[in-house]
Amino acid sequence: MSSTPETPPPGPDRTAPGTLPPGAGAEPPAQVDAEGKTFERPHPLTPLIRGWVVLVAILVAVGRELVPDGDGDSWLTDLAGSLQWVLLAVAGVFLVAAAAGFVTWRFTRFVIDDEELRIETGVLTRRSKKIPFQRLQSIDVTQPFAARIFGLAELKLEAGAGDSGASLKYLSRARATRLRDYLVQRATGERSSIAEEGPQASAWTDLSSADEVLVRLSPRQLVLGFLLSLDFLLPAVALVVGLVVTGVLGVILFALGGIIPLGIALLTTVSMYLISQFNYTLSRSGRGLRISRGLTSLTSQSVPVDRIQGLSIGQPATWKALGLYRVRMDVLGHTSSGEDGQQTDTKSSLLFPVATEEQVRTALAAIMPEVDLEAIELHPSPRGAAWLRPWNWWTLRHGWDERVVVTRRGWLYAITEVVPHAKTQSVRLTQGPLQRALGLATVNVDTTPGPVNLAIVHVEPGHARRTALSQLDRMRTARASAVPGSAAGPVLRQPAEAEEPAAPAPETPFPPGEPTR
Amino acid sequence: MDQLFAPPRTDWQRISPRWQTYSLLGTVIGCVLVSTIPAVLVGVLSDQWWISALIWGVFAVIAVLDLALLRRRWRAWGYAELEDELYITRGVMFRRLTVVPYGRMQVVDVTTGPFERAFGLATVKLVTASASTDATIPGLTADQAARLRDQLTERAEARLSGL
Repeated sequence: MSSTPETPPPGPDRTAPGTLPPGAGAEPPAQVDAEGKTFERPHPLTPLIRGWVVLVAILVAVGRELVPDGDGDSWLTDLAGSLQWVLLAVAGVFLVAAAAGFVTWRFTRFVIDDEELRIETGVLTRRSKKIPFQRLQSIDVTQPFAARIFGLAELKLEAGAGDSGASLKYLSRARATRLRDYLVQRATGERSSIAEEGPQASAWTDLSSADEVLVRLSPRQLVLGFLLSLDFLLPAVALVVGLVVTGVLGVILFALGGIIPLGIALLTTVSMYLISQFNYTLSRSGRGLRISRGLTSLTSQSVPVDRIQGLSIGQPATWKALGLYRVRMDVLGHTSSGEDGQQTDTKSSLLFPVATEEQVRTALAAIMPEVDLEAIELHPSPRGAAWLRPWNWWTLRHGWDERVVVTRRGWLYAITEVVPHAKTQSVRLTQGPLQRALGLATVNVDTTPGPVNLAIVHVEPGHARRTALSQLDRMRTARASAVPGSAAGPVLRQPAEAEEPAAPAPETPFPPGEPTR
Repeated sequence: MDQLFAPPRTDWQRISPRWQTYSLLGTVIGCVLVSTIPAVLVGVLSDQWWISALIWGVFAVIAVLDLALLRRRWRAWGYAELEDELYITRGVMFRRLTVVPYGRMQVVDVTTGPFERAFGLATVKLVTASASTDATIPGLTADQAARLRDQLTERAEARLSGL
């Protein structure tokens, strides 16, 4: 224990006697460094699971090749004769992946205690990553099928813009959920100790007695919603049309090469969707919301309520009669925007894949308790907007109250977007040449990257300017008044920093010519 | 300037007039680079040098138009520091007013390329947690940029609000 904590050469000498990796099922081995910090390792079974995951990925890829896709023999049929070679190769890949997994496991350690959250990784380049608790945006516990069999889980931490976050795989499920509960508490600014033990979450749904279930989607609702969604209907209609047209023309045999893969893709989408969204449950524990879902692999996503930056409530025209909605949310770190402005969802930003009006209302009450969306008066855009948006100008609506700003648009896919003033990053007022000619302007209310992109499009310029300026006032008020535990309530309660002065000292834009530094 | 995009209760601070020369130089160099390669290629390959002349002519017109609009483009840029927000305006055809509360700033970025440096100019960029904020002020003198950077970080610290 003489080496420095910063760049430890973790050889066998680092492990204290008696804490060598014990057998499966035991808690991970602990290490103590010079500062007296107790480091933990991921679970010793980790390399095995990693190897297994790689193996399954290969088998799935090979399996895809075996599916008949209309272009006759594939290279795999030649290999069928030499099955032992195939098995040997697969075993080799498994061993290499497991060996790599073992090295990674051996060189990964972390400490999560009352003071800090620090993860150290890397074989050649050691990397020590420390994440302040109040920067945590969301905490996920995911259990791929292989890990789930062994009672293991991966803990994923999202730390916000410009940060890739961190991931610990794999921990025992009990350990992962306990760390998760602790980190969610700390992320919302509550002081608590890692030593306190809460009730244990169940292995099937990841719910404990401390969690309050808000919404649970029944399989019937999931299936019905999916079968009526545009994601399914459009390819399904294409498939049927393809079959009918080729059938009538009598060339259906030639078209099979295209139709079979499309059918398989459609079936895969359906089953993937159902397996991943199975038992979708939204629950609340303390100030965190938790979404858990999945049949074979269980995913459980925890977001402190005040980390939700905006909501987008969508309704395809086909869902209208049933009163169903799809709700998406902006959470920092879930969407990464590349250099070219392209946004890609790195994680699910879904709050509800399909929900009834009542369920949406329940969730809204949990996320923004003070907001009554229906009470907000909505204004239409003027007629002139028809020239610029002939397809949906009559559906454009916008409105606000003292907590949120709301827009609504679309009819084929009707979208209502909600952004709390306290979460707004900036406001933009824009006007292009066509808009100028028509007497229109657009107000953008910017949020963090994600599915919500709120814009009050094509309104009268004077109104746009008044809206933008009054929006700034509302944002200021919202930021200044703190209501923790609500997305629409303003500043997070952060223990050390970020308490905005209630009444900022009156300041003039700097006295000219005064040197500052 | 257009009343629609004016900041409340104050006037715009202009960017440096030298930005006009810098911007014009950029346009001219850009036009020369973009037009010369196709023009020479066409001339050499087809020996129809009048087409090359046409290409050069088109780009010359673009450069002249840019020169004509230069003063308006320069005047369209402006920024104003109010108590709680920074206001930035830009654009002649596509007018734009961006307002960023100081508490939302994550990073203040000052950059200056070799050409900008030759003119003693710098660009200040404000980064928020939103990718679409787009708060950039080009054509500031080095002193202005440094002062703005310090003022902005100071105010951002005083008003920092969590995400």
